[in-house]
Amino acid sequence: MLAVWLLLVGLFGIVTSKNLIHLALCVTVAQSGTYVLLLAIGYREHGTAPIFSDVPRSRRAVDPVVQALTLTDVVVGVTVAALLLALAVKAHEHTGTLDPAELRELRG
Amino acid sequence: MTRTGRIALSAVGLAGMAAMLAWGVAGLEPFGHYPGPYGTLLNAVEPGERHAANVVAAVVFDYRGLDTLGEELILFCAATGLAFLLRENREENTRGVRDRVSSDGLRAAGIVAVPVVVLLALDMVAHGYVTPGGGFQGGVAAAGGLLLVYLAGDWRALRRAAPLPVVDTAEAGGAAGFAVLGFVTLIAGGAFLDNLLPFGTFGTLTSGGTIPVANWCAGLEVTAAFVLIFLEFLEEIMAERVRDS
Amino acid sequence: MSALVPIACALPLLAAPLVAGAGHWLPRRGADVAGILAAAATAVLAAIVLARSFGGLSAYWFGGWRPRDGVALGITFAVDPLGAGIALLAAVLVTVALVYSWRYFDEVGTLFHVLVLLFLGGAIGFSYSGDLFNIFVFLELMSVAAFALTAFRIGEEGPIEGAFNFAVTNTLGAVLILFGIGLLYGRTGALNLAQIGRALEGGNRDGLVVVAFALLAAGFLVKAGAAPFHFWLSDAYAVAPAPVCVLFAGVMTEFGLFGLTRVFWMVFALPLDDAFEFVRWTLVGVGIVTAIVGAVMSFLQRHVKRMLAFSSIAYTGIFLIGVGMLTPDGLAAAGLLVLAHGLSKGALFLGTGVMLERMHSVDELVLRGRGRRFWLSGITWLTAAVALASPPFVGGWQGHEGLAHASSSVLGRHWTSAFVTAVTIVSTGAILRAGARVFLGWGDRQDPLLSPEPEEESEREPKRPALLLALPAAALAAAALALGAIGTLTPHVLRAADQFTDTRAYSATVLEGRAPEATQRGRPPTSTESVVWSVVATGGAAALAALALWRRRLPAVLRERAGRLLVPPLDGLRGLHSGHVGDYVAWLTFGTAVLGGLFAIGLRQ
Repeated sequence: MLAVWLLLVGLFGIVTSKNLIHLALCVTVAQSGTYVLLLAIGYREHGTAPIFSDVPRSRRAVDPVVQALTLTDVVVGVTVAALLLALAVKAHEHTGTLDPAELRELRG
Repeated sequence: MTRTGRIALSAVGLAGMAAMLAWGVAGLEPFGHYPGPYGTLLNAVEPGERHAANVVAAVVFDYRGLDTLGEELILFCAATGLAFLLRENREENTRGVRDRVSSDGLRAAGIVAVPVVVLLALDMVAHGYVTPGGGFQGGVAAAGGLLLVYLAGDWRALRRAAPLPVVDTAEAGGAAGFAVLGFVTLIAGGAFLDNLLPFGTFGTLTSGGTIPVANWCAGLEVTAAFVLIFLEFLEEIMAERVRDS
Repeated sequence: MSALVPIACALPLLAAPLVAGAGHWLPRRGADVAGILAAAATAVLAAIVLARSFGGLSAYWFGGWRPRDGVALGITFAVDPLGAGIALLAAVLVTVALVYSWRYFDEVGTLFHVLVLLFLGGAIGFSYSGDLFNIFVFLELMSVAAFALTAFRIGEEGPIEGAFNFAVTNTLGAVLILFGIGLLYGRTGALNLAQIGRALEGGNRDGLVVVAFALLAAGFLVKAGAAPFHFWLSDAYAVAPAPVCVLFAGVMTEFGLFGLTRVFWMVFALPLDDAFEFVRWTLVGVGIVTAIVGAVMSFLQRHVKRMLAFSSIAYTGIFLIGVGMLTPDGLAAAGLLVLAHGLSKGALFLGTGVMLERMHSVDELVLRGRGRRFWLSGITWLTAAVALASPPFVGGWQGHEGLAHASSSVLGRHWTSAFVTAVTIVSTGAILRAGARVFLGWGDRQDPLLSPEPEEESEREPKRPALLLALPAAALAAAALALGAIGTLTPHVLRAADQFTDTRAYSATVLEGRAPEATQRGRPPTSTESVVWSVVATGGAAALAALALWRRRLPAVLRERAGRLLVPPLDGLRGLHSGHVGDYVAWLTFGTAVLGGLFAIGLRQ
């Protein structure tokens, strides 16, 4: 449920945002919601990390797949955030503002 | 739409989504009871098949290697796109900008910290498939270590430590390397991104077959990409200083 | 066949960083040539893969990981003819776009080619993949490349805003998809499409399955540009460079629908077996709304690229009607229309490239008459528009006919044909109107109905040879036109659709390696009714264009009455498209909630 909350909070933040940088961060928050969901799914009670160098192989471990998925997603999320921030920088450079309401070139 | 209208619309939407998501999530197994076959099966067979102790690394670089290739390229794509976005129209020459940390204590700390962090990062990458860590994690840490050069030192020092053409090439190299690996295994008779090298002894650096190769490619690319991103944003700041002065 | 499949996907993916890395040392032409060669080679490979895919579905397992006891360990590419077909379309459009861009982007070195090649690799991987998370990864690759490509003319404010809106909304769409994937994984413990489908078939259809479907549908519909998730599309298309728009209109939005269709048929078709009717009407409903919004808005534009963008949205609505019928016939019709649309729209967008480069504007009113010299581009424009209007045996004709035929058993043939014809009339009419005004100089000088748009001027650069600008477009338009006459096209696409929708055969092939059987399909007979509708569509589009051009000549009373009736709702619709990303996201949440709510009501067991 934490995952759901993160996602919704992120979305609300985007809708109400007055600052492009804040907006980009809200996107990241929303994405984090999904990571939390994935990791929560893979958890096993009393399970250890799926790394068997120092624990016997028979030991119960949590799901490695969701960890791999989350790893992938975090990379994707970061890169998108970086792009959004770069766009925000450029927007400020051109128009002097970071308020999405001020960027009204594309209308109708 | 007015701000109020927007908030009202999204309030309805978010309420609906909350209900919907709660209903969906309710269908999941209770926390702590992962049911599915995929993870369990992998945990059981991987150590025997690939001899790599870190099953997550094996999943990332072997079982689901194609996902990782795609995602490396996403990183490459975004870093390249970002470099392009910020470099365009940037006429200012930031070479001469002086941005030096003046506190000697901080610089001394930096001189110690940078090699420690970088070595630690390299260790993380190297042992990625044996202990926690791996190409991605280590790569980010290595990039952080290089950033320390700027934070505890000097803008010009960072530019010398990580010159742009080198970083560009390293990034392209890492991404291309992963793809090349796939082609090599294909040509060698296996499937694309098959694991054809000897698997070595469990729990040592020589285990895992092609996993270490993929691991290092990823580490190289991630380090370069993040350094590139830091550099580009820092250049922006420096350019602004040149503009203002 | 087997080795070609990963190579077709991996070749552009390998070429991209190589071109990037060598970019410092390669001469400018070298990068152009390398890019075109890579794309063309990929197209050839994709064509071979397509040809062989008709022999039956085959599954390629990466890393050599074959499934054990029905549990997939690795990632598979399961190539069916439909997937191979759109992969080929993508490769062809990319090659044409790169040829067009020869020496287009002088300042930026190799970046354009790198991004485009990555886009292509992502597109092919997406269409071939049989693994849900892998599909997501490739979708993100396509998207990120697209975000960067949209912002290409970074010197102006418009591209920044467009790219930002695009990136935020599409990333959120991806978040929805990922959430859905998470739910499915939590239930089935699998990421392979066939495996998930099998696992869900046996279980109960509770909230988790319904919500996962709603989330995945919403996410893919964002990408496809269906209402109310479509707002980003007009912004992004308006500011992206012309060759990039070709890729977007011909490939990217269609891939959103493809993703939806693939996931539906492979994962949800069996569990939702008894609820087809409800899903059908929901999807068709979304298609109808989308088509109306797209068509009407396209008519209200004077910014030609934005007009084309809305026209693409209208067509997405039509495709969605075809896909939403949930029958192989409907799917095949949508596929045929996608093909015709991709080629025609590509030609039209390249035409806007000519407008920007040679006539220095993309505003229809500003351009009035400027195009008279460019007779080849004018003819190309007309050809492409005609191909879209689809008179009998031309252009998208087979798709329209197929749609009518398919709808007769599930939706009601007459109203479907009437609706689709109306949409075609409005959106193609807009295109004809713009073409006539620009290339022939017809029509009034002012038109208060059309939305004012920011100036989009190009720099007075050294001129590239006119032929280079006009020929790729002409080639695409000619291909689009000829499409309607290729008799064997429909049976092949029907067979492809049959294979696509056969869930059980798919999972048998993927998970157990069982060879599929081939189906046979003949060409349905041409009906007079379809001929009539298509003549109406073409004639209607021309008539509407004429009406728009010469409205002033109508009696004032008539105009005033029509104005009072039409202007308020039109202005309202226009006002919704505000350019503000917060608005778009608000609509996104609303749309997702509505979709979830509808499915909750209709699909609960």
